Amino acid sequence: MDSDFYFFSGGVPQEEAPFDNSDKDENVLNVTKISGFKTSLNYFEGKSDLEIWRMFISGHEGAFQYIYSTYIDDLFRYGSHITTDREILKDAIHDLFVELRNNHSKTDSIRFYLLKALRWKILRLLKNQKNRLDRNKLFAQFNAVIEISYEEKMIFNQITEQQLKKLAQGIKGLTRRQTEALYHFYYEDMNYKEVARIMKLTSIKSARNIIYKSIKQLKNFFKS
Amino acid sequence: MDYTNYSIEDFVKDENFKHWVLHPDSESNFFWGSFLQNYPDQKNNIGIARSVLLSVIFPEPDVSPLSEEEKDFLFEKINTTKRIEGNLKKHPDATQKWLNINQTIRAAVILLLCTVMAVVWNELSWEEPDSEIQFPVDMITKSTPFGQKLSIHLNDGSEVKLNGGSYITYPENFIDQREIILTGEAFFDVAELPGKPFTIKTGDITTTVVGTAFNIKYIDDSMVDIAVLRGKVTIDTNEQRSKKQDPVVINPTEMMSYNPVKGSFTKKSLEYNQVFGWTHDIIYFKNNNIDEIFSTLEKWYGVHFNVKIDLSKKKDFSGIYENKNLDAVLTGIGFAFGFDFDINGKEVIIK
Repeated sequence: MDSDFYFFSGGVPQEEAPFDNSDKDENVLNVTKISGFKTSLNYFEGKSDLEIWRMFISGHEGAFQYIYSTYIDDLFRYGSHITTDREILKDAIHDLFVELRNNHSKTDSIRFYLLKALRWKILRLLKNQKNRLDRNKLFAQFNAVIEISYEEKMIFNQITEQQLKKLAQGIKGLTRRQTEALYHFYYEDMNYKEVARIMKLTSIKSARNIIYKSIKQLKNFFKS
Repeated sequence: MDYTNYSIEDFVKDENFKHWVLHPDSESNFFWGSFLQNYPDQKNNIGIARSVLLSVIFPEPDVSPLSEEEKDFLFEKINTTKRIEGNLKKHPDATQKWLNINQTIRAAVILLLCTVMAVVWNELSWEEPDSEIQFPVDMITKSTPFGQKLSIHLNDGSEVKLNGGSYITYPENFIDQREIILTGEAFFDVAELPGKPFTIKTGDITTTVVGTAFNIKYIDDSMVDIAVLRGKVTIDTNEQRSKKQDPVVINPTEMMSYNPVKGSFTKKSLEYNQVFGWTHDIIYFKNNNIDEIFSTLEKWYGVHFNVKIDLSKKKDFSGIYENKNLDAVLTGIGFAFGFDFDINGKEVIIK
């Protein structure tokens, strides 16, 4: 067994160690600067949000990179509902990730955590816009639109065109706040708790109230 | 949740129902598929609720998605900002005081600074401006897929051997700040530099060394193993540091296991080949069962085992393989356990 210690005797191998592949260093393996984007990220696939988040908090740069590349498209798409200003969106995403390194709390849903943080980053940037005239126009204008697809009825054949028209009319009567809650609940697939948190409502109950009330308004449709 | 009496409206408002309709997955398909079979009376209500949800659409605003270049550029910008802010943070008090000084004094300070700088410049010339604050620290990340290892020579003279499936991150100019972040397994042979501690962060715990050779294994947050070959190593957890407790000392030929869940350290016996063998391409088994063996080999060779037969879990196996290919290793193990195998690229079929 002693012969195994040769490598460590002076810190440098006396003979060529089978391990020594330092000369192929650069081309065999993934070598990247953090700023690069090419590190193999499949290391994280199949890992839970909780696990990835913990690795990120412990300073794992690969995890940070993975989070960025996994959610960037979704974040940008979500943000574009709040403002269509590309530069503001990029600034907000930039600020979000810079701050994330220094300041983060626990989460078991990375996606929700990021969407929520992004939303408030965008709103803050919009609020600070220099042009005060534009400010009111820009602030908190969540651009959720609900439309009815009449083609779906061909597939399901469960509701009549008449009923769909009623539904479309009812949707027009919803307030912006209601539309926004419905958007988060249905389109972003959040639960009531998450809807309450992202819209900064006081409780889960108020999230339920907004959505229940919206559905009630559309109830004409269900009755017919 | 009792869905048997749900109305159309109830279904539309239900978290689980809308999740199934709008974002179906195998779990929800199974649940609602079985529900429909068991309660055919609800078929009509479910059908209508489903149609309603599917006919409501939320159109996306007319903004084209970020291009790959925009994403790369943004990511780079995020990292640059981080480093500058990170460096400024080292002097929070100074910055704070600076902001509190009133205008007149600030001007005087600037003037004074200019004078001092001019003097220094005359003396030292251009070559060594104080780069502490202005220039970001460039960080390097190196990683290995399973089945491959990597030797890294750091510019302080230290050597790192990274085992398969591992990641390390360290500053480009390693001499000023000898700090490494590791996930996975690595062997360190650290150059002695008085007054410049060498630290490795693995999750919750930090290992500090001065001139030594040791192995750290940190695969996930369930266990961190640190084995010391030469020199001396101290380790401490975030908690210990915040409570100002003394770090745990590990002496040569000792191995310490840290369990982050319990926050406890356990001293373990150290078998040389078991811990350090991988640095010489030695696979070492000692009383391992077949699951442990396959798991080791999967990581070692970057393959996946597809076991088509029942193998005894009780049987254990010992052996040393030095610089052998997978075929040679499996021939021996297959003989001991009584199996045959086929190697098809990354997949190994055990039959």
